[in-house]
This record gives sequence, C-alpha cells and structure tokens, in this order.
Amino acid sequence: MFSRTDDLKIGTFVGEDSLGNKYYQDDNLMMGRNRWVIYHPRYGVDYEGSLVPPEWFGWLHHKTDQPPTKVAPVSYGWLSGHQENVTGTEEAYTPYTTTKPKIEAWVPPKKS
Amino acid sequence: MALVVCRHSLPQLSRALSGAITVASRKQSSVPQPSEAPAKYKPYSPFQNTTSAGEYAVARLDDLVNWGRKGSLWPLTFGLACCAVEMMQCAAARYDIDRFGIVYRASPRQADVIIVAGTLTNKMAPALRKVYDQMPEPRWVISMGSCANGGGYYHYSYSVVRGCDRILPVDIYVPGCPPTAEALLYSLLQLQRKVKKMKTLQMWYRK
Repeated sequence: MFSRTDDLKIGTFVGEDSLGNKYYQDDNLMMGRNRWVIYHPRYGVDYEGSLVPPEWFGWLHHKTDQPPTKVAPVSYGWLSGHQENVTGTEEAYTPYTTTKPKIEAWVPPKKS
Repeated sequence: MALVVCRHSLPQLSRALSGAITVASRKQSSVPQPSEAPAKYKPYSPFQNTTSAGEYAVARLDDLVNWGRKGSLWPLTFGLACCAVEMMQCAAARYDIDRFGIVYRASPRQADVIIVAGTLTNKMAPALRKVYDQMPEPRWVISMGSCANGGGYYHYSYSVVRGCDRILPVDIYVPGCPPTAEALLYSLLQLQRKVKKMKTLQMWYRK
C-alpha cells in the first residue's frame, strides 16, 4: 500500500472494477488527491493509467461524484470492452501503406 | 516469419503478404518477452527467460541500467509553439514531473529526451536536426502535438515540415492540439516503459 501511493493514505474502500483494481476515497485530503486507485497486484510495477476502465474513469477524475457501484453505468450491446494501452507491446498498431509504392527501389546488379 | 504472421491480426497479415513491410526501426527496444502463465505478482524485470548464467547476469545488469535510465530522463526543451506552454505546465507544481526524475535540461549535450513541442517549420528543421545530433546516445524523441506529429493545422503550409518524424526518429507521439500536460506526462511514463525494455547489454552479449 505504502509503496503504491508513495504516501500514507488511509481511505474508505469505494469499489472494485472488473480488472480487480481497488478504488479508495478520503475526503479529508485536498481535491485531486482524495480519490485513488490501487491496481491489482498481477500488474506488478507495470501499472498505468489506461488500466482504469471507463466506468471508473469518470469517478476517479472527478467527472462525476457517483461511482459505478452507486449509479450503474450505461451499457449497450454495441459497446466494446475496455482495452489497455498496448503501446510498446506486440499488439501495438503500426501503420502500413495500402497503395502501390510510387518509386521502385534500385536492385544492385550482382557481380558474377 | 511464419510464427510472426500467424500471431498477428488480419491487417498485419495482409501487410506481410503484400510485401510492403515497414519494419519498425527500433524493434529491439520494443519487443516484449513472451508471456508465461499469469503469475500472481508480475515480476519487475521484463527479461525473465534466461538460459545461462551469463545471460542471467547480463539481464540483471540491463535491469539496473534501464532502471537508472528511466529514473533520470532529462528532456531537452524544444518548445516551438503553444505546446511549449503545456510543457511548462507539465513541469510546474501541479503535475511536477520532477518526482519522476524528469528535469528539464537546457543543454543538448546533457539531455536524454528531446520533446519537440510545436510546429516545426522549414527554417527550424536544420536547427532541430543539429540539436538532436548533439545529444549523446541513448536518446529518445517525443513528438508533442499534432503539428509535430504530422503538420497538423499547418499541414498544407508552404513553410512547415509535415511532421517532425521527417527529421528525427520519433519514439512517442502525443496527440492533441495542444496535448494537455497530463497527456505529456503520460507519454513520458510510456517512454519510461519503453526504456525499461531496452536490451543494451543483452544485445552486446548476444553478438
């Protein structure tokens, strides 16, 4: 706990999301520090901000005061699931061209 | 190659088949280790499958080097436009990147990262390249804002470089016009993740 927040914070447990991250609140602290998340230990030290799913994002960033445990988030069939940022992993998107290249590379003649 | 193809998704498959492969230039620092069964606690190091004692030692040395590097990224300020204001805000009290050991350094000789913040004009491009060439290895580039990413609003201007990646090899692109200080901070954290996976000594050992 101490190593996760770099601080001695004792808050009330608000809820837990689908990934296992736990959310806490302590309104005695100043605004901006009063809500925080403790990531699930399976992420180790590789946690990052995009592990917070959108239901909890709004609460954590003070967009709303109602956590999804109190007010159920909207859900539609067409909503895709949350995905964390894959930058730097194998699933990362790399752009590629779909058009024919405009130039032809020079192939050096083989000496024989 | 076949292994790579079957693991990737469809657009990458078609790309591989059409032969128009644009190989990521810095592949060595972005290839993660194949993940094993989900452990309860993820280990610190990304280099887990070592086969010999030598590899193990080199991997741990790499961990140490990467830990030091990612804990003291010194960005060179290259503020060109309004993005620079957000960059200053990132260093100011609220976001305070000093807590990650990220301290702005005015000299390119002592900087690790260059943050290209703003519109890169044709006139500034040689200066940017010169400043980048003065930086010691290893060096990273963060392209901040849509103007630096691809010209942005000034894409069709006669005097603007359409993306600073025409001049420099960019590691992290930060979208936004301008990106918030939070976004820049997130990009710096992403760069730290990337630095953590670097295999400087392991590549040397493998040779």
